[in-house]
Amino acid sequence: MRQKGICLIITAVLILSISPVIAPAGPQPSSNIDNSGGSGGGGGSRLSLASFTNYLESWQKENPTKYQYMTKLMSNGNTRSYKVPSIGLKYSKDRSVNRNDELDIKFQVQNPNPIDLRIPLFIDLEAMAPGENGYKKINQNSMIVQPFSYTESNDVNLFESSWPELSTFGQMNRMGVLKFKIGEVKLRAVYNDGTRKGYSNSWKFFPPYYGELVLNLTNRPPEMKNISIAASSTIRFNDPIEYRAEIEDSDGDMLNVTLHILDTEGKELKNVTQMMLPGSINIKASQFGFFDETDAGKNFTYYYSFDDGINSNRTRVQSGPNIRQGPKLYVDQLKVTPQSSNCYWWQWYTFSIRAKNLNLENFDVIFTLLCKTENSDWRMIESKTIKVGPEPQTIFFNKTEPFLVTDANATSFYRVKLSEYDQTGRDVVEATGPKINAKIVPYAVYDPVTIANVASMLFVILAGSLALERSHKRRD
Amino acid sequence: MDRFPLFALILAAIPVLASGLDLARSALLLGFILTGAAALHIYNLWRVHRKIESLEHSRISKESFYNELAIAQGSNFSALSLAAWLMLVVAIAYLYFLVPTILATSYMQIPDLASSPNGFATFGLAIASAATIVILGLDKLPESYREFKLTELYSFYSLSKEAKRMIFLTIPALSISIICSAYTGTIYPEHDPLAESLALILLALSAGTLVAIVYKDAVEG
Repeated sequence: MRQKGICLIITAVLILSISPVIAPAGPQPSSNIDNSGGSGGGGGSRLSLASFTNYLESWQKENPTKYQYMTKLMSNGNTRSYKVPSIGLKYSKDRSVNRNDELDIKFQVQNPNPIDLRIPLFIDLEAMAPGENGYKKINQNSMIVQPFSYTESNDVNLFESSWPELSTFGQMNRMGVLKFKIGEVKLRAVYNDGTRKGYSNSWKFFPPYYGELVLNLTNRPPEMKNISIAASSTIRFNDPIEYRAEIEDSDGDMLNVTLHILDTEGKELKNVTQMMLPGSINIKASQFGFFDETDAGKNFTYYYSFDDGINSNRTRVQSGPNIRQGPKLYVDQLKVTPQSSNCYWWQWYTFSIRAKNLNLENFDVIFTLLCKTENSDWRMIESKTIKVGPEPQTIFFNKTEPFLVTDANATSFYRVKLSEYDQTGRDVVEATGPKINAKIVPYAVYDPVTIANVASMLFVILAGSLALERSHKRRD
Repeated sequence: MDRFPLFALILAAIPVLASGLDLARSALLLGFILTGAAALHIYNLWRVHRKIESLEHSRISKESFYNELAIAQGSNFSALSLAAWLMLVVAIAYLYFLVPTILATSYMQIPDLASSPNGFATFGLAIASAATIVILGLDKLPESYREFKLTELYSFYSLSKEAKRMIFLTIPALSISIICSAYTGTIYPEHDPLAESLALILLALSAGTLVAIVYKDAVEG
């Protein structure tokens, strides 16, 4: 075969050497001819073998049309000797593929033609999606097989490659190349040499190459777990209520998740849909206004529905939240009365707040007193459970000692935390208290405590000195 | 005529008058007087030792010198003088370290202790204990270093009855000084200049009295 090629090239050189006399029809090299004949008038230019080879190589790369013409010319224009190549597909992985599985589809071209007869081939991949009738090209850039790209094996010229831009079916979906649903996807390769097309499914191949590749496109449905409601044990309608869950999707698909809130009779009250990637679900009831004052005392249920665009599913109905009945609390007149106007840290302070239930019922409300100063954090001082009815009543925290020595010389603050929300929707009522006196020592000099301190100290020093002297003397 | 009271008075006047009743300055002056007394005490003994050696024309060991020189002042006096010294240390701590207006560190910076019912006693006894440990530590020194032993300070001087009486009187004076200082602590952050001055005067008088014999001996030779 190589000898035949060399002969053809020599023939071509001979033809070209007389080209100024017999000009062939078609494109002619015009500027790169090796005028080794020099400046002989009318003698024409002579083309060396090396120059012609360079020409051929440059045309092969830059001007395939001219190159094809030349190869046809060199084979005396006889295309009947050209044999059509065959092409097959290889897929070495499991045929059952997911939308996010990496596709590793290779093609192999078997070209029986000698290098001088080979023509560049443009190779594409076509797919028939489930439920479709025809094939559609799915690669963006054709792979070009040049005549010199083949390797010779057992007298067959082979070329194997793949389409690098092919990644996953999911990506093709997203790019809008093709809409894949789950099911059988048929794939075939097609080549184009400029004049004719050839399909892989026209030839019979043997494993690992196939004329037609059939892949089973599957979908892994999303799964939901860890469904819960984050809220305090006794939920009030305006407490922070958060619906939490985890949703997983092995394919990493974009998911539609819908939270359905059901009323006491199981009828859907409200729903919220979120488009999200697999991960945590946090839906705050307050953000979507699921519940209001009228829901107090009702037991709600909920469930989630979700889909990944292919498979949809729903959870079982979950119970919660059970919103408890509460009073309609009205509070005012938060006050503090110190033991004396000196406001020493060691003195007692009486705190009071007035409260009533705007509903005609008595309800247990927990009042918790907390105090702090600029120098300290909130400290719980006292807590009381009071039955609050429609009649206003004042709740006292009598003679508390809420401050520490470190609070001396600092402004005080106090608050009453309520177990229910008040008329303003808050469960904390707060006020600024008096500035605590800077005095640190709580005892006067004439106080028995001070007297006892100083007297005992002096006594111990005197007694100790006597004892020391005695022991000293005894030692001497 | 015994000039002991005069020396005591002069020494007491230095921190009181020179400081203009400024407590921080008085602390410095008081420190000088007490340090000076310690230095003079060592000097006095060294001077006598040298004089005896020159008279005897021979070398006398410090041990035998101290044994010869030491005079027993009576155990009651020794016990009460030790008590006076301990109370001097406590009175100094009460005056200068009870409230933070004089020095940077003070008892009031430990509010839990300051507000405790036992705070004053704890503070005073802690200071007295520390002073006792130092005094006992010095007492363990070898016999050739008896000049450093506070318990033997007065053994090397001849004290008149009046001087001894005055040293006894430092105990009530220091007690009053401590009470005055405690009063300033109880009223903190307010302050009473009269109580502070009284505490300082009594403290200075007591300190002057306790070291007057050393200065007197140094001056009179």
